[in-house]
Amino acid sequence: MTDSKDFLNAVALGRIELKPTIKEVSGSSVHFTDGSVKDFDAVVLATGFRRAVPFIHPTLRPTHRGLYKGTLHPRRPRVAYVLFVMPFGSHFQVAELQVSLF
Amino acid sequence: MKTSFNPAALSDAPWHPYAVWWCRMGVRYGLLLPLFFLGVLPLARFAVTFVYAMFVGLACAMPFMAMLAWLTWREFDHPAPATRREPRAGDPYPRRDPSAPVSEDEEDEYDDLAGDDASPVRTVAVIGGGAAGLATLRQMLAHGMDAVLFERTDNIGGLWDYNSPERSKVFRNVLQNVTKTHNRFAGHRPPKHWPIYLGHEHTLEYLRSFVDTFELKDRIRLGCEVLSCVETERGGFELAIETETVVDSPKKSTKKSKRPHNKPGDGDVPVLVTEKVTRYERFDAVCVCTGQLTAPSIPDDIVGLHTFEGAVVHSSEYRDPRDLAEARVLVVGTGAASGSDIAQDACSLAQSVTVSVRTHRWMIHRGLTQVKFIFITIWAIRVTACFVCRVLRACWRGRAPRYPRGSVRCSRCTRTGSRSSSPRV
Repeated sequence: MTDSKDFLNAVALGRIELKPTIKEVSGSSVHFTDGSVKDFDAVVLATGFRRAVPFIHPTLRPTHRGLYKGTLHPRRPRVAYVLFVMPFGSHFQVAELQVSLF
Repeated sequence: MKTSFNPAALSDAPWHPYAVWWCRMGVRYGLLLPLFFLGVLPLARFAVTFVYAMFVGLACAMPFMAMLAWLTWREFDHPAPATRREPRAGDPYPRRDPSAPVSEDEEDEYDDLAGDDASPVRTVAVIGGGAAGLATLRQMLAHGMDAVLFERTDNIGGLWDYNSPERSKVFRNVLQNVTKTHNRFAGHRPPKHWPIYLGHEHTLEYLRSFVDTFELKDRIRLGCEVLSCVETERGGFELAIETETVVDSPKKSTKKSKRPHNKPGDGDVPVLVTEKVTRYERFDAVCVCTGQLTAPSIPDDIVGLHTFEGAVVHSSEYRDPRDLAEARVLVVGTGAASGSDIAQDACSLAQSVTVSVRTHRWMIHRGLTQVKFIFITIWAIRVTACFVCRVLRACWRGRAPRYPRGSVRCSRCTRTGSRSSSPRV
């Protein structure tokens, strides 16, 4: 679920067009999986981020099992990762609650 | 701001803003109810209706008024935690500056504590000066720990600093996803004249005023980049911190300098040469607050994306709709909210905007929740009013007559409204 101010209005007015997944990119034209082809000048990748803490020693990084309540390292509880979660709602208050776990 | 330490206040959940808002709306619409009754009911019973309406309206609004008064009186803001906790007699260690060299006695103390899991945490390193880092720093200081915040760049604010492009991940017309009444720190509310959804400049100002209010400035070290963080055998953590310091003597530092701001030998201009110094500091605990929006995730399963002739930017690099003026823009994905926000932002100037989505998601309007709550409040007040009205009517007219099953009822008697307890059949 995501929220935006004018996105739905823009879609309703036809200013934003919705397409399925990209099948192939060639030159400036993009082929979609429904068979349609369209030319574009710019591509904005809103595909998210990867979590990266390169400066932390690998033993202290978040494990594949996750963190305790999204905050504490399961084996070393003195390493806390604050806001390494994606809450739905306020981030600031979630940060404070996460710190209070420490 | 200096109050006594209250651990309950730190974890105390704030009053839900909707509770406050609900009460306000309850009072407002409850006091409007008399007008509703006056308009709807016939004028023949004006006096009776007026008394009823006043009574019902007040009865409906009373609980809301009482609750609002109580909330107002007890100051329903988040409880502000103590800015700093003063050291007390029961503290395991006296406070000390974590950057000060460790004396031999303390070294022995550390050795005694080696391997002890219950050794208390007294020094904390907070890495990252964004919103999470500031919240962490304040809470750590409020709990009586020696916390130091390391920020890589020369100012706090993290990704909200639009004016420093190397770390900003917001665009010009960005709005927070959550209202300012929700997205805020405890005990520090944004000003009332700010808009409901804050942009990047207000958010940055909010974070900086947060630092000023809670006096965190002396605990923030700007320009310190944490290069590595390893665990020591004593149970602590050792951080390699790289600082850029200005070296005054140019002759001495010409060999070591890596980043000369001015070219050496400019004549009268004093040469400012900076030098990067790496120091090692030890802490009992580490809070990583660098956030999860550090490395852009570029999908590698799009066939031929590298052969695209136009510009390919990540959503964190998008800054201004004017960059995409009169362009045909394709937005891939919607992200948490960034894809849809960027699409709606770019479509004001772009020639056409297309959004390619793989997984369909629910989209809601930002202001929808407020509209929804208005209707829910009105509905709740109507239901309450109907109930109270029915009770009052029963009190005035007497109990509604109950007819035995199968009896013949005279419509004339019931129409005129008999106050006698026994119905005339």
